[in-house]
Amino acid sequence: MTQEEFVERSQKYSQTLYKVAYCYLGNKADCLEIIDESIFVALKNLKRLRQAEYFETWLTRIVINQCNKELKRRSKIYFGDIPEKSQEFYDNLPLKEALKKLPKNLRDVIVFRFFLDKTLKDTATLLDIPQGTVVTYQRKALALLRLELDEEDTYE
Amino acid sequence: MNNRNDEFDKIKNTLDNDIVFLPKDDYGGIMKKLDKYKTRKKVVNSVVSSFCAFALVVNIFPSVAYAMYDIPFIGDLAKVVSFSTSLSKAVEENHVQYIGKSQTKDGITVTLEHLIVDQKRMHLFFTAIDQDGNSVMSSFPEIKWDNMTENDKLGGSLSENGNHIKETNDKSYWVYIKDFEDTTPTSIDISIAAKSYSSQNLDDDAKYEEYSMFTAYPHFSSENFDDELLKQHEHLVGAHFDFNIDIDPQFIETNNNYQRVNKTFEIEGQKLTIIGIETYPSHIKFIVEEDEQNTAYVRGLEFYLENEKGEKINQLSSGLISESNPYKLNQSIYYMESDYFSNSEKLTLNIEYFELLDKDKEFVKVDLKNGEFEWLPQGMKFIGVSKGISDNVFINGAVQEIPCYLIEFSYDNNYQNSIMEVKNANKDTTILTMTAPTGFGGMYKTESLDTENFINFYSKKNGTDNSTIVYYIEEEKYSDIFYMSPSFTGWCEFYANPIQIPLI
Repeated sequence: MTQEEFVERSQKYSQTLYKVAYCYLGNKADCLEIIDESIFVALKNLKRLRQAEYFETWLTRIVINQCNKELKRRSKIYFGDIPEKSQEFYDNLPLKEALKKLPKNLRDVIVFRFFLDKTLKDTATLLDIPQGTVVTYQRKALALLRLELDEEDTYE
Repeated sequence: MNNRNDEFDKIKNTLDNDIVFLPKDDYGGIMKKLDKYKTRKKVVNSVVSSFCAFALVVNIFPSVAYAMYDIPFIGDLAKVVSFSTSLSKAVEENHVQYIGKSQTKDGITVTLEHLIVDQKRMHLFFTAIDQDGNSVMSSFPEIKWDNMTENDKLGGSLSENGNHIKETNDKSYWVYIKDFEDTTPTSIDISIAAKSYSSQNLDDDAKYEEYSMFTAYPHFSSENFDDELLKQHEHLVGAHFDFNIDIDPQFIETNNNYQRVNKTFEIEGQKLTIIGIETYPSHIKFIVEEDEQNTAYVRGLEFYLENEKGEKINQLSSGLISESNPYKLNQSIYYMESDYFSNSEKLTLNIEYFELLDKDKEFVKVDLKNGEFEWLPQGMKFIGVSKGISDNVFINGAVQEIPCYLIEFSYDNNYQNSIMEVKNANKDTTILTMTAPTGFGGMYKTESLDTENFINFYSKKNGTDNSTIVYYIEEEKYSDIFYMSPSFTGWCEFYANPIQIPLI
C-alpha cells in the first residue's frame, strides 16, 4: 500500500477510529491524540501490512492498542485485570464510566457490537475470538450495564 | 440506572454527531514525526521493554494466551495470582512450592520460580530473559513424568484470554497450567525452549508474528519433523532447557476431597442430579447428571455455589470451564474456583441461566443436492450451494483463505424480532424465552456421523425482513448429505433471582 492510499483510507475510516477511541477514553481531546499516535504507528509499520484488504481491521487494532497503553499509563492497577466488581458498583456509575470499568474483554465486545454496530462475525474477527465467545461476553456485559439492546442480529 | 438505554442513545448520538476527519496537513506532521523517529530509533527502542509488547500481544491476540499467560510481576507471587481466588488463597495458605532453579544457555536464562500444585493440576511460574533482562519468547513447556498416560499427555493448559496481565517494572512471569488427568506425578521433567526476538526493536505486531512462528515450531518432536521443514525453520530453533523437579509430597497427598451429593431436582421439566463435588486447592469439579428420560439436553447452565459464610464460589474464569464425562455422556463436569481452604460446611447451588435443546431436534438430515430437508428452523429457506473461498479465517494468528463450499440460507428477521418482544415482555424474570429453533449452529455431522465444525459461518441482514446466512465447509469435507445442528430448540431462561438448591 502506498502512503497516498494509506492517507486516503485512514481518512475515510477516521470516524470509526474516533468512536473506538471514545469508548475507551471518553473524551475527544484524548481520542484525537490517540488517533494521531495510531496513524503514526501504522505508518511506521505500513510495510508489515501484507494484505491491504485487512487495513481497517489492522488500524482498529492499533487504536485499541494505543488506548490500552494510555489506560495502562493512567493507572498502574488497570490493564484488563480488574477485580470482579459487584452489580451495585456498575449501577452507581454513569454508563460512560461503567463502560470504562468493565473487564477489558467485555468492554471490547460492547464497543464493537453496540457502539460501532459491528456484526458478531466482524466483532469476532476484529477481536480474534470465536463468535460464541462474543455472544457470551456481550450477554455478561449487557447484564452488568443493565442495557437492553438487541443482541440477536446475526449469530445463529 | 433505570435510564441506561437513554444514556446509551445519548453517547451514541454524540459519537455520530462528532465529525472527525483528519486533514491532510496532519499527515504532514505525522510524516515529519516519522522522519524524526527514524533518526532517534535506537534511543526510543531501548526504552521499549519486551514484557510490555507481550502484554499487548496477549491481550490483543487471545489465542496466544490460550495456553499460557504472561504475568509480569516483581517477585510477589500473591499479586501474580490475583486473577484467581483459588490460587490467591493457596498462596495465602502457603500452598506453594518454591523452585528457584535457573539455567543459562546462549545468553538466555530460564528460571523456574514457583509451583502451585495439587493432585489434579499444576501451575508453573517461570521467567525467561536475555542478558539485558529483556523477556524472551518461550515455548509451551513440555511436562513428562513416569507412568503418564495418553490422557495425561493431552491434559489442558488453557486460559480464557489475556486478562491476567499485570504491569510491573521487573519480571515477566509465564504461568503454565498442566492437568494431571489420570496419574499424579511425584517428580516431573520440564523442557522449555526459549529464544530472543530477532531484534528488541520490533513492534508489538512483529513480535507477535515471531512469537507465533516460534511457538508453532514443534520443538520437542523433531523425530516426527520433516527434514526439509526443519531446514526452513532453523532460524526458529531456540535454546533448550531441561529441568527435573521433585514435587513436595505434602501438596499432592491424598485427601478425602470427594463429597457425594446425589441431590436430584427438576428444572423446566428436566430432571438433574448433582452427583458430587470434588475439591482441590486449585479448583472444584462439580458433577451434574442429566436424567436419561429427559426430553431435552442441557446446553447451557450458569451457576455459582455459596457457603454458609456467604462466600461465592464461581465457575472458573479461565481454562477449562466444563466438559462431558467421556465415560458417561449424560454427566457434565463443571470447573469452579475452590473453597478448599474455607472448610465449608454447607453449600447452596444458585442457578442463574439455563438452556435446553430438545433431544429429537439435535440434528437435521439435509440433502443439499436435491434441496431436501427433514425440516428447517422456523422462517429459514435454503438458497443453494456454491464453490468459493472462505474469508477472514484466522488460523494460528494469520488470516488464511481456504477453498470451500458455501451453503446459503435465508431467514426471516420478523421471527427474530418476535423473540425480542417475548424477551422484553418478560424482562423482569426472563431475559430470553425461545420455543423453536432460530437457525443452525456451527457444528455438523458427516454421513459417517463424525462431528465436525464449519470453518466459518455468518449472516447479514438484507433489508428489514430478510437475512442470509452462509456456512463454510472445507472442500474435502463436503458431501451432498449431512446433518446440521439447529442452534436452538428449547428454552433459554435467565433467572433474575437465582434458583436456590441446598446441596450439603
